[in-house]
Amino acid sequence: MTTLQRPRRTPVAPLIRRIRAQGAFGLAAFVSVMIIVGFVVYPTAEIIGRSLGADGQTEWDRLAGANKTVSTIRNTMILGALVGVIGTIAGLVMALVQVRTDVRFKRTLHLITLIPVISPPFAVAMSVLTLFGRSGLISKELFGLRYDITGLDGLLIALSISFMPVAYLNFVGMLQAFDSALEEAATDLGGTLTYRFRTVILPLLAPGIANSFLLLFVSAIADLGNAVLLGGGYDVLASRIYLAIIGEFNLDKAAVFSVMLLVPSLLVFGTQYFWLRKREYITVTGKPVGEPKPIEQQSVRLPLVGSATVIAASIVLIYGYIVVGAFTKVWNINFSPTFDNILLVLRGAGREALFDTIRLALIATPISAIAGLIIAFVITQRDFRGRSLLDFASVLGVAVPGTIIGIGLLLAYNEPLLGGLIPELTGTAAILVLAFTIRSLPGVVRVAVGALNQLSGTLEEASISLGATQAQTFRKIILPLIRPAMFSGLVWSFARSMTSLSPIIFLVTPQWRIMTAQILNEADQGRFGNAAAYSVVLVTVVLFAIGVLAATTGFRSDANALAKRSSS
Amino acid sequence: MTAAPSVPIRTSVESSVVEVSGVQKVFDTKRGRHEALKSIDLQIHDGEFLTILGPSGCGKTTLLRILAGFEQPTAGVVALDGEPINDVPANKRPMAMVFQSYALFPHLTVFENIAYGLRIAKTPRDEIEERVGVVMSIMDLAGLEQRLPTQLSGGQQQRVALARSVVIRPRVLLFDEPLSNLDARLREQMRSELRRIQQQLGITSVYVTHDQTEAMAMSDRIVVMSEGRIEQVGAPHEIYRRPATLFVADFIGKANVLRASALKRSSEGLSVSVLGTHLQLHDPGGLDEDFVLVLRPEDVTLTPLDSPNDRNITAKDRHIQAPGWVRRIEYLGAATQFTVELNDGTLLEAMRSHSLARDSVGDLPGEGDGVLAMVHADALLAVKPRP
Ligand SMILES: Nc1ncnc2c1ncn2[C@@H]1O[C@H](COP(=O)(O)OP(=O)(O)OP(=O)(O)O)[C@@H](O)[C@H]1O
Ligand SMILES: [Mg+2]
Repeated sequence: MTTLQRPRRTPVAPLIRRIRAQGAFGLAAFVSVMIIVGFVVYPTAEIIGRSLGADGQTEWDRLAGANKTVSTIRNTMILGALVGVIGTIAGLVMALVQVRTDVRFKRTLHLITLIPVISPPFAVAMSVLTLFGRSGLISKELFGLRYDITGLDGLLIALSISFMPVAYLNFVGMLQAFDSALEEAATDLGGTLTYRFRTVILPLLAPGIANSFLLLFVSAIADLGNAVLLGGGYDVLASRIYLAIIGEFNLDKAAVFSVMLLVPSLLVFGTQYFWLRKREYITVTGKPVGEPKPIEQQSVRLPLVGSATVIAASIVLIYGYIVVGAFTKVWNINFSPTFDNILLVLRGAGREALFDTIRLALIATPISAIAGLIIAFVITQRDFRGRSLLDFASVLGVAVPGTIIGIGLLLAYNEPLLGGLIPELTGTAAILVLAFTIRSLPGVVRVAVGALNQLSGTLEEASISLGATQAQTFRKIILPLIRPAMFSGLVWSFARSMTSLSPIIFLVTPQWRIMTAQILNEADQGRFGNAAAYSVVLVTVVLFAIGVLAATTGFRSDANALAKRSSS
Repeated sequence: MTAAPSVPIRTSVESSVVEVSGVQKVFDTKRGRHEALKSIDLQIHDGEFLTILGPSGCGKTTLLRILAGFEQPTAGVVALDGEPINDVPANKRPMAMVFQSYALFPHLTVFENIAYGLRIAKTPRDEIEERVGVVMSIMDLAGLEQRLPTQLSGGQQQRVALARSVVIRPRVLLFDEPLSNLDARLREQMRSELRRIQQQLGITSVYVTHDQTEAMAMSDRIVVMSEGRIEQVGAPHEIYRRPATLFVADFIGKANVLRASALKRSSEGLSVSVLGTHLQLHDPGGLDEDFVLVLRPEDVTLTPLDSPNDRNITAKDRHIQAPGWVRRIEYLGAATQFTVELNDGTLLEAMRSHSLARDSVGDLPGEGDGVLAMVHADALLAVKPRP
C-alpha cells in the first residue's frame, strides 16, 4: 500500500532496493515476472530465434513458397474455424438445456459434457477410428460402409467433442448471470421466445460466442494428438511439426512451422484477450436478479433437448467404447472380455509410465498452485504500470500451443544457463515438471484472480491497520479465504498435467515416460487396446485425485461463501 | 441543532498528537491529474474527537487514508507526536481504522477477530484473553465470542469492528463513515455509544462523515472540507454560529444568504447596506470587499401584520424590520418553517420552534398572511463567499 510514486522520484533504484521498499509485493512481482519470462517468453523466443537462424532461413525459403505449406496452413485455419463453430454451437446447446430447461437428467448431462475435460483429448480419436473408420464398428459392421473417417471429418468430430466443454462452461456462466429482468421486460413488451432470443439473448451472448469461437480455434489448431492419429492425408501445422521432429529430426523445420502456428494463435488469442474479455465482463458482472425461467415453448424446447441428448449420447458412445476397448481382447475384432490390457498398464510396461506421470504431476501441481497464487496476488493487488501486460503474459502458457512450449523448452534448456546457475534440463524430469507447470499455470491464475477479486480490499487494509505485514495478511486472511478456489485450481492443474500431450511429447526420454506419450505411441503402432487401457487408467487416476483432494481440502469451502457475503 | 457550547476539558496549550502540514494529494488517473487534496494543514489534539465533514468527493477519505498510511501524500508531512511518519508503513503506525464495511474477517470468530491485532503483536495468551474480555464487555458483546461475523446483527458487527481496533490501544482511531450502513434508529444509538466509548477510553479519534447531524452530535471539533480544501475548523457551535465561509454556513444547517455591501469599516464594526437599509455589524475580520450576509432561519422572528404593503423595510435599535407575506409553510414537528416574501421580493426562510407551554399552533401566521420579519444585527454574519 505504500509507495507507488516513490520509485519514480529516485533515479532508477537498484532492483533489490526496490524490492525491499515494496516488501512482499515487490518480491512477488519479481518472482512472477521471472516465472513468466523464464518459462514462457524465453522458450518461445528461442524458437523464433531458431527459425530465424541461418538454417532456419533456408527452411523458410524452401517451405514458404511450397504448395504443401500453403495447403497445410489453409487446412489448419479451416480446421480451427470449423471446430470453433461446431464446438461453440454444441456448447451453447448444452448450456441452454442446462440453464434454461427443466429436463430431469440435467445433472447427468452436465457430467457427461465435462468428461472430455478429464481425459486426454486424443482418446476420442482412437474411439472415432474404431467406431467410424475403415473397418469401424458402426460404419462397416452396422452400415456396411468402407468409409474413411481420417481427415477433416474425423478431426472435426474428435476436436469438437474434446473442446466443447470450454464453450459449455463459458455459456453456462453467462446464461446463469443473465439479468432475467431484462428478458422479462422483453416478454412484458409482448415478445415471442424467438423474438426475445434474437433481440435480447443473442446480442448479450454475442461476446461469449465470439469468445468461445476464438478459444476453440486456438485449441483446435494447437492440438497434436488428434492431428497425428486422425489427420490421415489432411496435413495441419501441428502434425507437420510432429513429423519434422519425430520423423526427420529437423528442429529448424519444426521451428519454422512453429512460428507459422504461433502467429495465428497469438493473434487470435490476443484478440480474445484484449477485445472480448472486457466486453464480456460488462454483460456478465452484477448479481443475477432472478432465476432464469425454463423455456416452455415446445417448438424450441424439443429440438434443444433432442440435440443435447444426441450430443451426450455421442460422448457416452465414444468414451464408453474406449472402456470397451480397454477390457476386450482385440478392440473391435475380438470382444471377449479380458484384463490383460489393464494389467499390462498396471503391472507391465505401463507401470513405470503410470508412476512417473503421477509423480511428476504431483510435483508440478503444488508448484503451479503456488506460482499461480503469487502471480494472481500481484495482478489483483494494485494498479501498477505493466499490470495488464503481466496479466496477459500469465495466460500465455495456454495461448502458445503446447507443441511450441515443448520445443521451446527443449531449445532453451539444452545447455547450462547463467553460467551454470540453471543446469542443462533437457532429458531430466525437471523439464517435464516445467512443462506441466507452464500449461496448468494460466488456469490456476484465473481461478485465483477470480477468488481474490471476490475479497474486498478493505479486509487486507483492516489487517494491515491492525499491525499485520503484507505477508502476515496474506497468510492469515487471504489464504484461508481463497482456499476453496485454490482447491479447484489444484484439481484442475493436476488433471491438466496428467492429460496433456503436446508440451511433453518432445521432452520424454526413456528414463521418464509419460502416459499420454505412451498412449500416442501405442495407438500410432496400432495397439489400440493398450492405448485404450492406458486412457482408462489415466482417467481413473484423475478422478481418484479429485476425490482425494476434495476429501482433504474441500471441507473448508464454507469460508468462501462467507467471504462473498461479507464483502458485498 | 444549536448544540450547547461544550466545555473544553483540556485547558491552556493543547498538545497535538497528529500534525498535518501542507499535505497535498494528486491522483494520476487515465483521464489526467486529479488534485484530491490541496495543501491541508491540521492539528489533531490529544484525546479529542475530531470529525472531518464535507460533501461526497471532497477528499475526506483520502485524508484519512493518508493518516493511516494507506496512501502517500504527493507533498507535505504527516507527523505523529512530533515525528514525521511519511515513511512509516501503515502496519507500523499506532493507528487503527474502522471501516464503513466493517471489514470483519469472515473466517474468524468474534473473539479471533478482536484478538487479531494482539496476536499479530505476539501478545501473551492470557493477556489476550483478558484484554479481549474487557473490551467485549465494554462493547456489550459478551457471549458472542464463538459466533462468526455473518451470525451477527449490523450493530453487533459494527461493535466488533470497533472492539477490534480499540483493543490494540492505538494512539489514534480512524473512522471512515462507520455508521452509514446502519438504519436511522440504530445509527443514532450507535452514535452515542461510540462517543461514550471514545470518551471512556480517551482515545484520540478522527471520524469521517458527510452527515452534519452526526458531526454536530459527536465531535469536540469539526473540520469542514470542500473540494480538497479545509474551509473551517472549530467546535460544533462555532462552526454553526460563526461559519467562516458561505460554504460552511450553507452546508451546516440552513442559511439565508443576503447580498450586502460595506459602507464603512471602523473600530465599532462594519457598516453595511442590506435590504435597502443601513446597519452596524460585528466585523469578523479578514473580509475584503466581496462578502455576503448569512442568516439562520431560527433568528428570524415573525409577527402578524395586517397590511404589509403600506410599510417599508426599516432598521431600528439594530434590528431590521421587514414586512412581507408568508408564501409557504412546512410543518416539521418540533418546528415550523416559513418561506416569507419580503416587500422588495427577497425570499427569507424563518424557523419557529414549538412548545406547548409557550404557544399554540393557532398563534402562528398562516399561508398568505402578512407578517413582519425581525432580525437582530448580531444574527447577520458576514462571510466570504469563497475561502
Ligand atoms: N485511487 C484514486 N484514484 C483516482 N482518484 C481518486 C482515488 N481515490 C479518490 N480519488 C478521487 O479523489 C477525490 C476525493 O475522494 P475521497 O474518496 O477522498 O472523497 P470522500 O470525501 O471520501 O467522498 P465520499 O463522501 O463519497 O466517500 C474524488 O474526486 C475521487 O474521485
Ligand atoms: Mg469517503
